[in-house]
Amino acid sequence: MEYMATACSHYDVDRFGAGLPRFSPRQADVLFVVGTISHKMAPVLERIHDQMSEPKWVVAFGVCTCTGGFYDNYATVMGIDTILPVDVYIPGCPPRPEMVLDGLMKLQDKIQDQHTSGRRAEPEPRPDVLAK
Amino acid sequence: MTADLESKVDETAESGAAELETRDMMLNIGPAHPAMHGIIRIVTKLDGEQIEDTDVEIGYLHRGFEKMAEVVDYNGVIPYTDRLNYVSPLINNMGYCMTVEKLIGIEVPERCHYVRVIMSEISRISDHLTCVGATAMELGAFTVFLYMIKAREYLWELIEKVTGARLTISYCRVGGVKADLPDDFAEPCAKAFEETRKVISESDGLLTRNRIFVDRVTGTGVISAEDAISYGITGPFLRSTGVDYDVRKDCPYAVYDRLEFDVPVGSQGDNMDRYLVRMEEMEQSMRIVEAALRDMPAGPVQVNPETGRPIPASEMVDLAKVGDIYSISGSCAVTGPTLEGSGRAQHSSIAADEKRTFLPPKEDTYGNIEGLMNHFKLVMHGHGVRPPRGEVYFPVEGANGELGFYVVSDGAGSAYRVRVRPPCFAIMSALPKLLNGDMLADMVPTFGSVNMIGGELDR
Amino acid sequence: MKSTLIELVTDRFVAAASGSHAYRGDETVVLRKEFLREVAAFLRDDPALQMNFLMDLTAVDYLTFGKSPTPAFFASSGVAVKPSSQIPDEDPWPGPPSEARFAVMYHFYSLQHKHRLRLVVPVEEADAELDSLVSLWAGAEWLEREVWDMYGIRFQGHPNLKRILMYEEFEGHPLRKDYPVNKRQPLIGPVN
Repeated sequence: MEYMATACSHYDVDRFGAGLPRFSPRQADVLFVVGTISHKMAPVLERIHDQMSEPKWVVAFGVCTCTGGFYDNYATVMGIDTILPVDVYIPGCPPRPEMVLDGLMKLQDKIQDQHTSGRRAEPEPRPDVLAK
Repeated sequence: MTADLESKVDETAESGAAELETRDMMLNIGPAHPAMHGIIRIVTKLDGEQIEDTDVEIGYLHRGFEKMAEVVDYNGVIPYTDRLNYVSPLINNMGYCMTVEKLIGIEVPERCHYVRVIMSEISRISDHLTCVGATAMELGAFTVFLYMIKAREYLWELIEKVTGARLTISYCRVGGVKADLPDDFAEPCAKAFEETRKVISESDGLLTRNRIFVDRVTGTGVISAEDAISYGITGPFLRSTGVDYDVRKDCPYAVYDRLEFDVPVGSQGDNMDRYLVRMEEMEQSMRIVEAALRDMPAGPVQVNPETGRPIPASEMVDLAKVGDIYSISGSCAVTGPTLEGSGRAQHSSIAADEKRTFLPPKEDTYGNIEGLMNHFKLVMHGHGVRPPRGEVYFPVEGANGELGFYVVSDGAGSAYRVRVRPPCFAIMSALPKLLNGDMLADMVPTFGSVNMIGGELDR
Repeated sequence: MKSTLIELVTDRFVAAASGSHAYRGDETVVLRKEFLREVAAFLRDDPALQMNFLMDLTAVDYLTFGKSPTPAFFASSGVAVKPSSQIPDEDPWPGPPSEARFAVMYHFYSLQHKHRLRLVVPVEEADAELDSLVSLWAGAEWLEREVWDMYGIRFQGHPNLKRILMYEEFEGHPLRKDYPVNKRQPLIGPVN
């Protein structure tokens, strides 16, 4: 739902270069996993991820894909990072379009810093708040 | 010479046709749909382009709503109901809250009914906009989709003004709503409706007499009235077949019996009728909201600024925490926009006068011990809203049809059983009937007009 | 005070109905399961009733009814919020329909007469089987599949009784009270 809102004219994800959702995993670079993933859907998701060709990135959109959200029950996968490697987490239920755009920009920065061999950049040093 | 050639061609054609073997093809339209309809799997048996048989598999978004409702308390189910039909969450909220209110046997004030009706209808308009927009997009009319989402953004801004969130709003509570409408609601509402009307008339001009659109949706996805009733289909889908059943008119709830509106009814039962019914329903919903805004009983008088000294909410909280309640006992808290409307002044109009279900106004919670105890008893685990033992069923008119909640209570703090009757479940069970016999390309407008919302179908 | 709708059913099928009530205005008849198909056909075809909609078909598991585990914190305070004595409960709910563990609820609606009726059919755990109503209402097909999936109650005569919301490899019936909320059976990935 919010992906639809982000992609349309008001918030317009097209100006960030993410305007065309491709209908086939083979042609896609980024996999946006939107919405809760149930255990029934998990093998299908893994298959789609496998079908994508390298280089590929995964964005977990919404808190249900990040951690499972408040659906702590028999049917829900508690975070897709248990089955896929995730690059950017966009929390929120649903995340506001501004958050989605921010996440997309973070992904773009991450890709920018990535070496052509696939080696990722060093993560930003965390401010050492405990050292005070 | 040409005659010989023609007869030769005819001969080969005939003998060729007699030797050509045809087989049905099994096509899996898998769970990852490129369309924005959520995840569903349709296995079709095709004879060329014609659909012979269909098997629909759902359950890919099953999140265990009914099991979670047994674990959390009554008010805690409300965020889960938001995520059922996530395009029109206010209608789900309202349905659930009215069911529990029927179980407890409490009656909310009239203004609260009007507020709920207004918000439900705005939600319904945004649902229909999404449905028609998505269907149009899949048929190639991308512009219509962008226009309709633009109109939906205006409505969502309006909803955000009232509830604080765009989509998952958790606005209704058992015994009332979270907060009253803001004082300046009428003007943005009028503006949003003006934009929506413009968009609807633009889309109407683009689609209704558009040769391509008309050819694709007329005569496809036809279902007869008897079949629709047998499957349990309700809502715009049923009304497009000619049956005039609308829960708002036939079993009126809230204040729908006082508001005047029409219910559009189709005749053919095909996709074109459903499109027209939804377009007209949006106009009728706007009519309901405008009538409700006129007829709504006036809001409460604001607290007298001389006697009720306004102080910032954070200051009031801090004073209360250190125990200095006498200095704040007569004052009103100046709260931010989303807490506005939950003060003592508004409380009588948005909440049932029911201490056992609804949180007391913030001045009472922080100002006197009775209010604090009341708040505590409602929120703490093990206390809280405790309806008497019983079972009730209450239907409301969702955007897709009759949305019924069936709640069983055993006297404890959480519900014993909550069942939601999803309107699109019935429609989806009729999908094989709708699709068989049509061509593969007709599946697109038919599925679009079903308005399958995964959250509601699978719960 | 029995209403005419309930009387229409109970007078015609005296042996079938084992109870009835109209709690909060919802007319309900508790039925013995052998008579289900007969009564359902009567409800649909009788001109005074004409229940042409089978609105909903669901089940309730009464295993832990009234025995919710009280939370430890503040449970001994002894002060419970009871239904207010100012609101008289004239027609209290008679309670779970029988000693049986499950009960299947059928909600009917009539388009012409605009009335609703609920049929409650108690089902024992050992003999969890009922007649299917698919021949009367086509919508019962998926509704019964869901009851099978969530509760494990079989329906005789159902053309295609398999799981609808959960996957086939799932074992157990999730909405039963003895199935823990977060017991996962993942197809791929870790269990927790």
